[in-house]
Amino acid sequence: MIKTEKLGKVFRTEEVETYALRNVDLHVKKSEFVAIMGPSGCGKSTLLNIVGLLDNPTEGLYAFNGTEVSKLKEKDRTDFRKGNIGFIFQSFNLIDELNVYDNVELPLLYLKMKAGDRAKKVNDVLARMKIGHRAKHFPQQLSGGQQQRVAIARAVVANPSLILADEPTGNLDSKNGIEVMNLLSELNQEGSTIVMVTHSDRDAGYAHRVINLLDGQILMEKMN
Amino acid sequence: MIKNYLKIALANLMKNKFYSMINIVGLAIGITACILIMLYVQSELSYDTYHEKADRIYRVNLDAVINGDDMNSPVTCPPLAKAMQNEIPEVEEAARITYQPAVIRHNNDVFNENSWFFADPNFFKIFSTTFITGNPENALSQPNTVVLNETTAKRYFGEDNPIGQFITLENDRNYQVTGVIKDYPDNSHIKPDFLASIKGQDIDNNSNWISNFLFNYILVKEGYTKQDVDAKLEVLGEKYVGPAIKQAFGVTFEKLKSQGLIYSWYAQPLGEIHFDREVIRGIGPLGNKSYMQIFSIIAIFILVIACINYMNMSTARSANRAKEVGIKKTFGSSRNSLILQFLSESVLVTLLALVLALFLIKLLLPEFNNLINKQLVFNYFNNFKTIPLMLAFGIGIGMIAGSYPAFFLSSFSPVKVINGIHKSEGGSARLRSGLVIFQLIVTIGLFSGSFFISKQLSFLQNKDLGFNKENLLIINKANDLGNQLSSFKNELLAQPSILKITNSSSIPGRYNSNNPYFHHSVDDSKLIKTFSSDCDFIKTYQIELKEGRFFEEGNQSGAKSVILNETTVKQLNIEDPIGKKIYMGTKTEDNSLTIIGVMKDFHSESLHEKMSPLILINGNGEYLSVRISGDIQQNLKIIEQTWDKFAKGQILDYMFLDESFGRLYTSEVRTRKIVSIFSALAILIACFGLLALAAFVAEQRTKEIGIRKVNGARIGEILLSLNRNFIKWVAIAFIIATPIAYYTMNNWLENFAYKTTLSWWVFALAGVAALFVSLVTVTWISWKAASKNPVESLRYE
Repeated sequence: MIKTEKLGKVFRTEEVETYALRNVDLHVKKSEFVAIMGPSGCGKSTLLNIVGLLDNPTEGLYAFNGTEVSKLKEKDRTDFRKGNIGFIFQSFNLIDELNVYDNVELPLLYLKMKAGDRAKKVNDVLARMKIGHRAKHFPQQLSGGQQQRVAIARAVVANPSLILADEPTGNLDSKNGIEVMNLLSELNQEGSTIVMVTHSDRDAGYAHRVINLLDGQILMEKMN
Repeated sequence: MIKNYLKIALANLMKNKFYSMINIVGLAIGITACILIMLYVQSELSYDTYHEKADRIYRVNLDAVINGDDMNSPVTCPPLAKAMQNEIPEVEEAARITYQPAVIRHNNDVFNENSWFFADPNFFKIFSTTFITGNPENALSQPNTVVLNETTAKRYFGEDNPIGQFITLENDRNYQVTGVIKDYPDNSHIKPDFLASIKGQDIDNNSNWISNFLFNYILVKEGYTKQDVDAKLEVLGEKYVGPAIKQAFGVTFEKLKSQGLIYSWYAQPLGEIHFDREVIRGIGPLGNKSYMQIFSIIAIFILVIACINYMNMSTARSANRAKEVGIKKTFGSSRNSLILQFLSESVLVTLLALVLALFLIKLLLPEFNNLINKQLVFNYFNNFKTIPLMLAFGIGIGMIAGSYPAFFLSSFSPVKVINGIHKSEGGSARLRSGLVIFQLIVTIGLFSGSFFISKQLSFLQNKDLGFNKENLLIINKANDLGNQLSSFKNELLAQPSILKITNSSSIPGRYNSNNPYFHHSVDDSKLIKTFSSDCDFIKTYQIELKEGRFFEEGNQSGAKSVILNETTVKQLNIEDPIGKKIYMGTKTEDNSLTIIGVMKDFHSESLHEKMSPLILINGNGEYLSVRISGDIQQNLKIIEQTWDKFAKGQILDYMFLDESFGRLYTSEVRTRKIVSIFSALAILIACFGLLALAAFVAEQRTKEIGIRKVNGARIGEILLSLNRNFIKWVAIAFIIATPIAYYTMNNWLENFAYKTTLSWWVFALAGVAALFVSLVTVTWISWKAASKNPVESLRYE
């Protein structure tokens, strides 16, 4: 599903050239659960952004489901992302001005789905994440664990084939963290492909495969 | 989707109440000011278009050059209308109009009226008039009939039916009311309260072709132009004016024309009458197009300033919206849909402001009407176009105000936002400084404009006119005293508080008739204003005599003596004037006048005009000027009592000269008020913006301020660092605004023959005022930030 070849990302300022990624060959198969680990600044998030089509690589190739996407313009990347990729962030990134229901509905709005269909999907996913009773609440009124469940609901509501998670348990206590990881595992077992960046060995243990990055390069891979 | 936009927009409005208020209130004030001014300008520019046949109605004016002096006159002669109607096939109707102040008696009450018109019966065929009762076909066909407008009918007859009733004009002539018409709209130059038939009046049968004192209006048949009519008017002039001139002066029209005389009629379109500053002394107030331009520019500035506030606030606070933009983009929102979202947000804000503005307009319109001396109406529901027009206006403003923020905010890259590295602010900060500088330029420009208008006005009001205009009471109708005039004078002069009285045919500030005079040869003739006075004129007015003597009681060197002012001596080129002669028309003894005195120049007209030549002849006239001292009310009582004793039932019509002189500058006084008030509004809105911007800057730098204070910075130093940018902006704005203001003011002063100096200190004052206002505004916020305990500002980090 994901295939990169000699992927690289250079940040240039007037004086300095910094390699965030160098020669990364990453392969992720459909329905796989991959964890990416490494110290701060090793390029994990940059890699995730490129895989998630939020950013373009400066070098190398990237095929998503067989389509070359490394040189797409922002507008085309947006169209490509829509409905295909769901994102989960460490800091949840919910829109404070919208309630739980509206936050989860967001990706469906951009898919131009009919209102009735949207309501059904949102309610289903909220029930599944066990936060249906909080639909009218605003993000600030929820605990961290609840907020992250809303974020997961939002990530999966459009049935994307790929879910990208950037340290999804980073801001949660261990109880809530385990709950979130169980949810991700469940989604994976139902067929979703998941790529997760994490610092936590416990979280990485849920993945099929762990990739270690250091200074923008793949150091080692191991199967769980 | 729209629902989603609205939810976020409302949530944002509620969350940032302070900024929302500033935006909405600022925009509301801006829209209010703009609509009010636009109503005014629109009403001025649509003057007289109310008449259905407006594009076919013309006034016939006289263009004359006599002895090199240009006379452009709206009044023409009485027989013209009939001749046009009968002899020019292109003319469908021609009617004469004249108006006068009038004293009217009704049921033992006496009224002073100033809008009594006489008109030909076909007036209503030319000018659209709505009859409430009566028949336009024959309302004025009989002598001694009058049509009243609705307001006047109510005033005189209340709820009674006025038709068939009588009112009495001063000369005891009774007029029967034959119709009541709707009041003409405010922006119609002819607005009679009383419209009486010209039939049976002396002027109706006046057949003098070179006596010009009434207005001739024509309705031209469809398909014909001004040029068609002008050509026929020339033929008519040859036919009638030629013989009349031959008869009056003994010289042929051709001869005079070869000597440079021009005497021709032309048709002036109705729509041009209000703004034509060449043809003055017509009916109704004169409009001023350049003032309308100034007001429109101010209106647009006010609106732009309010829009800039919105732009500045939205881009400055962009960090707060960045996260939302990032998330939406991550989940598939296109840039276009974000632009749409932010635009709909600004449209929402302006629509809220518009609603508030519509309330404000309803509330303020009466005050505004007072200010501009008009009766504007603004009906939301009367005209089916008003509501959609207002809506379109609001949406348009919203689009403009929201355009830059929308493009700016929607441009954020999701990666940077999500990763919290949203600091690429350089471009928008620079634009923001530019916009604030623009606001400050307008502020400084308006400051200096208002200052200069005030300076010029006080210059006009305090300029030495060459006579003393204070404590002079003018009685307008000395003729009412008949042969009791001198008894009245003597009895008043017996009072110690009545110092001097003079009788004259004109007073300063009034129009005087011109006569051609020469000293050396008839070719050097000049048109010179002339009026008559008794012996006490210069003493009453406290005008200085330069040489010779003034008219003296008992020393009747006859009607052949004249007093000149200095300008006349100069213009007629007379050396040692005393005892010399000047002539009118031809150089014969009959036409000669002997100069017995020269008085110093005094201003007999408004200071828009240059000092003009003036000749006084000995005689009487309709004005009595009374110089009083002490308590005005006391004196007025004495004068009224004495008047009643001698004037047998006529009412005393009086005024104070300083007030009537002041009225010459009504248009300037009004302009000063309008400019000051709307400048103040513009400045207020600009201050709103500065306030919000200062609050934002202080908020953004809270942590920095805390760290600086922990490291020993004093409040003063923090204040300076917070205010430094604002000071810099005022300085830049000052440098740009001053030349623009200088140029504009210089142009405006061209309207006056006598002008105040464009002193540098006024511009400096405007700059200092702008600096002061903006610093006070900004410091109000900065002080709070600077004096905060650093522990508090750092705690949240």
